[in-house]
Amino acid sequence: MKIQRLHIGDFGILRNQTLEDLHPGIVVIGGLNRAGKSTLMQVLRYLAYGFPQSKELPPATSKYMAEADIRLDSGDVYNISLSGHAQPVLKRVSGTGEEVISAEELYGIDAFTYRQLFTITLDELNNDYGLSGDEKRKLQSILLGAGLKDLLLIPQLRDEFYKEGDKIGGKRGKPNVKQFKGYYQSIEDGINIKRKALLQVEEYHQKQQELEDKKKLSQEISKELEKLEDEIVQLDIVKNNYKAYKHIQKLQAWLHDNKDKHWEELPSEYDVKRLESLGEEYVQLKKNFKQKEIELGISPQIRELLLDKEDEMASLVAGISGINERIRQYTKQSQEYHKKQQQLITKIKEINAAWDENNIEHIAEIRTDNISHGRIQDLLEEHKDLTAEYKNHKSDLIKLQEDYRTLQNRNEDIRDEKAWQEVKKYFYSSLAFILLGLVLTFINPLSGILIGLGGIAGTAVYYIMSFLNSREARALVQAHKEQIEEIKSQIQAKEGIIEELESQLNNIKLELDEYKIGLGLSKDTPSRSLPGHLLGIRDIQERITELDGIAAQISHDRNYIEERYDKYLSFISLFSQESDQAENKESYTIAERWDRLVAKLNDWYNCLEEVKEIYVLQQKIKSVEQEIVHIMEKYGFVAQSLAFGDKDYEDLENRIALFLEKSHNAIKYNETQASLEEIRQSVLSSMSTDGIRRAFAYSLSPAELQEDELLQLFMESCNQYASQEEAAEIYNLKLQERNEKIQLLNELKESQQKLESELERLATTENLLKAQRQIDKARSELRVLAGNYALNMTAAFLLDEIEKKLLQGMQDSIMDSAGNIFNQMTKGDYSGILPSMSSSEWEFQAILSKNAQAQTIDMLSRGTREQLYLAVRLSRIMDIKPCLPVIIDDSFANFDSIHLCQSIEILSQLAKSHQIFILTCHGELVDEIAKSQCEAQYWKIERGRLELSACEKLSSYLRVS
Amino acid sequence: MNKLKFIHTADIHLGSFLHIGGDSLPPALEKAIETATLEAFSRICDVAISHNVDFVAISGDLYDSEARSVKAISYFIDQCKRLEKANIHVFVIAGNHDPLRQRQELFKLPQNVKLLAGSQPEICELLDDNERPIARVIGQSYTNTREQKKLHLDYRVADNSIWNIALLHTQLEAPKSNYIPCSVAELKDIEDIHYWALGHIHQPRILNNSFPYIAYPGIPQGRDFGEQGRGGCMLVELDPLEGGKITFIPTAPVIYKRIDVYIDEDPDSLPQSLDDLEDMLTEHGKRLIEQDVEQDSYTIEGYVVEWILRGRGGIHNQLKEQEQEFLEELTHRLRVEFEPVSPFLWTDSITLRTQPPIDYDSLMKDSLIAQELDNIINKCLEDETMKKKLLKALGEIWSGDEDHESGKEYIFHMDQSTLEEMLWNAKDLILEKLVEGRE
Repeated sequence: MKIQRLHIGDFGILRNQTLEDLHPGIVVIGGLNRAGKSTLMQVLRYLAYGFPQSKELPPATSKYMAEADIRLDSGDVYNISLSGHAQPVLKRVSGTGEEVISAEELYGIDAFTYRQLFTITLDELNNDYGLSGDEKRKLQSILLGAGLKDLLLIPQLRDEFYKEGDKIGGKRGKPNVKQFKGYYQSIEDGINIKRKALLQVEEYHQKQQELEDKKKLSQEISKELEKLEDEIVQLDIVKNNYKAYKHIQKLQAWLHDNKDKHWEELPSEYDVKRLESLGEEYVQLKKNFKQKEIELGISPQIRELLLDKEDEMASLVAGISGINERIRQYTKQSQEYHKKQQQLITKIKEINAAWDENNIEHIAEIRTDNISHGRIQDLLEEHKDLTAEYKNHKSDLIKLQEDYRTLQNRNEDIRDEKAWQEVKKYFYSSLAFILLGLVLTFINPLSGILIGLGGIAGTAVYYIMSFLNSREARALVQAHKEQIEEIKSQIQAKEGIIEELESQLNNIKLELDEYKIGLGLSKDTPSRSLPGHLLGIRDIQERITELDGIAAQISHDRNYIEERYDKYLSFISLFSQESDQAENKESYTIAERWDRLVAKLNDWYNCLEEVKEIYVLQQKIKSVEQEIVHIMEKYGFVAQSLAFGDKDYEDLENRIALFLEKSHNAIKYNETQASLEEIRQSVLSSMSTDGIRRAFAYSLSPAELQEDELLQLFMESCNQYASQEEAAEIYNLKLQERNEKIQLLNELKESQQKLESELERLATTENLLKAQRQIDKARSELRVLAGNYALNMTAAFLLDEIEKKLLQGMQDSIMDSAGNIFNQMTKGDYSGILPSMSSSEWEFQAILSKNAQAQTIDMLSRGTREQLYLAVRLSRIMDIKPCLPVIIDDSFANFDSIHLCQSIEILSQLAKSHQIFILTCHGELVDEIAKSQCEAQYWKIERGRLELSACEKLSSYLRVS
Repeated sequence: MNKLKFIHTADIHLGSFLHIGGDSLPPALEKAIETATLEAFSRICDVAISHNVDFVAISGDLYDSEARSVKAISYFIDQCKRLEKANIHVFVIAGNHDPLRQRQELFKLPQNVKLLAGSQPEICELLDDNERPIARVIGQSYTNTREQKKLHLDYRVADNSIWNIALLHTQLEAPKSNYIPCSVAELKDIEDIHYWALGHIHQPRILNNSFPYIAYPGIPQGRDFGEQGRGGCMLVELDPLEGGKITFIPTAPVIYKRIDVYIDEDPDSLPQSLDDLEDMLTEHGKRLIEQDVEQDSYTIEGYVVEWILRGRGGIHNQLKEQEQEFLEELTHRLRVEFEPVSPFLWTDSITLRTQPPIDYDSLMKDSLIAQELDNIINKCLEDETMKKKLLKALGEIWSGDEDHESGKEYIFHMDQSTLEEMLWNAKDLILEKLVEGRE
């Protein structure tokens, strides 16, 4: 494609300039600076694309106006006209092509590509002349030769994807940028929460450990505190009882020094007082006793006897009056007896003159009770009758009477009248003795009694004898009777009735005799007097009986009195040395003796009271002594029990004194002990609570702790302090220490509670979950974004890759040709060009021929760099079809002549296919072009005016200028 | 040798949370976020007890250093006490997520739990009721978050007279791995090991189904869409006569599922509106739940679903115009739709990958770009240099690092499938733009 004609109507300095018949090869337009070369270049640059609104472009005088005829390779000629900023209008001038085509269709490439590749100024050769990134990339792809239709879309699409991606996550897809940022932040926050939450386990462990430590510490402090509390309690007790402690010490010392005064069994106060009063009483009693003893003058034995016999004596004394009465009666009866006795004797003598008082007994013995007065009368009558009868029958009877008498005489013999008389005598004498004794009793009781007793014995003997005699006599009489009866019966049998009469008479006689005998009468006594006798004897017998009764009474009384007297006497003789009053018996009547005896008895009896008093006193003393001894013994003071009168008793008063002294000492000791005890108890009571006991007990069980031990511990505690003040001071210090410890403990407890709740919190997964949820939520949303980002970036990447791959295909050839051109241009200094990616941008590297080392653009000199870019562009220009006009605006300024020459050489080659506009102000370049012997057309431009020129002319114009 | 029965698990990440986007979660899900991994472990213990196993082997990553909590530690102790009562031992090695150096034993481990040493392989003998050894468990814990040494080479056991079970936390087959580089062949070469209880890879795999058995149990409970499907553990039964038997037992209460839905699955009834799309997705959701309910005997508490709309259709342009609003609305509708359903189905997100109804064939014919795209994409997927280059282009927010575990929360891991997905998506996008550009 060649520009055949170019007309510039209005464009900057160029106005109405026409370049006709432009050479299809090299068109050199030379001009000085500001002649309009660059303006012309701009016109050529935008010819197919229209003038853009750009400050870079020179202003139009009125409106941009330009037109050109372009001959296509096909031979068709189109006119392209530009007006203002409007799109160029292409109209076919000749040929067969479409009448009107678009400018892009004309050139086939976009304005940018055309400008970059085909309109070469120094700017274009210095790759970095202010292109935007996109433009650069585009330029790169242009330079690399991308040219296909889709390929052209790639950058756009890729850019779109990049843009989309970039919008989401920036170019590098950093999570903390653009749209990612919010979620990133949320995740980061979540991570931070999570990180902390994850530390919970360590924290838990740590806190667990911490809690353990704190618990241990708490326990230790608690123990210390417990100890401290004990110390405080101790100190409190010590300071409050310090005086007591001192007092106890003092009292203990005293007690120690006076321990001998200690009396284990200390008498009770009562006992001591009692002993004191007993002691006094004892002394007084003893004094009284001695006085009374002297006053009475009776030996203790007698006193004792008296007391012993007191009851007896009392009974005797009581009996005195009775006895007195008996004596009075006795005396009276005795007198009456004597009187009646005389009367009896008189009576007896009246009956039987032979009888005297001695026959009384005999008379009394007569059994008058067996004798009936009527019988006797009957017998006397019968006797009289029978006697008459008998006289009738006397002859028979005489014989028989004789036998009978014989036998009766024998019976008389049998009765020993003499012996019986002796006995009778003895009886009477005995009686006499009794009587005598009785009488004597009044004079001398003893002798009287003895005599009486003798009489009684004699009487007894008499009775025995009498009894024996009567039995024997009766038996004998009986035998004789039976003999008589036998004789009688024999008479009767022989004589019959006479005998019977005789017998009857005899029987009557016998019976009457028996009565006579029975009445103590002699047989001679006429039977007729027998009834009178019987009555007289009966009277006497009554009198005797009466007298005997009196005598018996007197005797009885006498015996009684004597007995009493003897008893009293023997009683009194117990106390006095007086001998019996036997001799006095004779001289004194019983009454007299009795009176004397009673008087004595009364004397003793009177003594008895005093004796009793003494006795009572004595008993009292004894009792007091006993009590004293008892009291003292109770306390072990008297070793053994003492009997009254023991000489040890003399010491009793001393002993009492000793006892009392000892007691008083002991009491003092005990009082001291008691006050010690009181203080002790006061101290102990102040220590009575379990807490205090525990405080002192230390390791001991407070329950086991005895009071002594407790007090000992108290004393030991007190002993540690010199004074109460010191204890108080230490107490305060300990209190302070305790408060500090309590505070510490409370703090520890508080921190333990905190730790526990902290542990509870740390055991939960709340934070972790919260963090994870936050992360997950953000991440899930971020994931969508990341996906989109990745999608766009992948798409961009794929496009990139595709582009590269497609480019690569061409790149090889492009680079080959560019390399060749560069090699040629540098006259072999460099062997080729390598495309390379640097920071996601394409770069070129020049390969040095000598060592095939690649040099980056930065390493190249400006000239070489410009040559490289020129080479790349020329290479690309060669590739692009159709062959578009190339405009080179003084791009060789930095080339040395050799490289310039080489470049011209290359251009001359290019000019074979391409129309090349070379705009220059350098005559050397014109010369070089001329030297190259290639065909070229030379135009001179001067102040916006263009005119065809010749090589030399132009060269010289430029040189001269 | 007697029969041996044990549970092989790993990567429990006890106490870590389910990663779920969105607000106003249903209560069951809200709860599951926090408890799912715990529940999964509890289920493992249930399985161990119900199958009366000899022991439970935990091949690393019992805990998660990113979700360490007192609660998790205490939960583990409690569960182990349950096992202790059932006379079940627990052997644990520390993995890269819970290396010994980061471990914090707050509470005393129950006696049945043995954490193997980190300094060298430790062997524990398992005794039967008569105190006779029945198995050896060998393993070595991670001391740090990375372990580039081939620890397994030092796994040596005395003999094969009793079962030898090896615990190893390895990424396997990655020569420069930070997580015990090794290979199946290497493991097979180590003598006398009967079972390799591996850990680290979160998908269950049986790499060798004969002696020596080599298996990954996978994660018992997936926590994001990178850990889709039913997580579980391996019930391993070794019989000297019949050989081994490995049974995968699902334990995950919550299942992550990414579901592709093609809008043009029925060309005769292309969705025309948002309502149509909603119906379409609801139908898919219901089908999923029904299908799983029929299939699984264990309790699935719910699903977390990412819907990916694919296919070509006229609605694409409509959707693209207001993509964000549309997705938000559809997400909301689906959440509401499935709210009363149990097990729950939570729509975590919807991704639009539909394509306009473009005549790709002609485009492919006359466009150099279109022609070249497939080549480039394949190159990106296959050629490591190219892949790296692409990943670099994706910016710092994406990481293609194989050791994605060191990534930060605001960095996303471009795994192969994501990459592939994205490349094809990018292709679609380019073509779409290309068409637009041409027009």
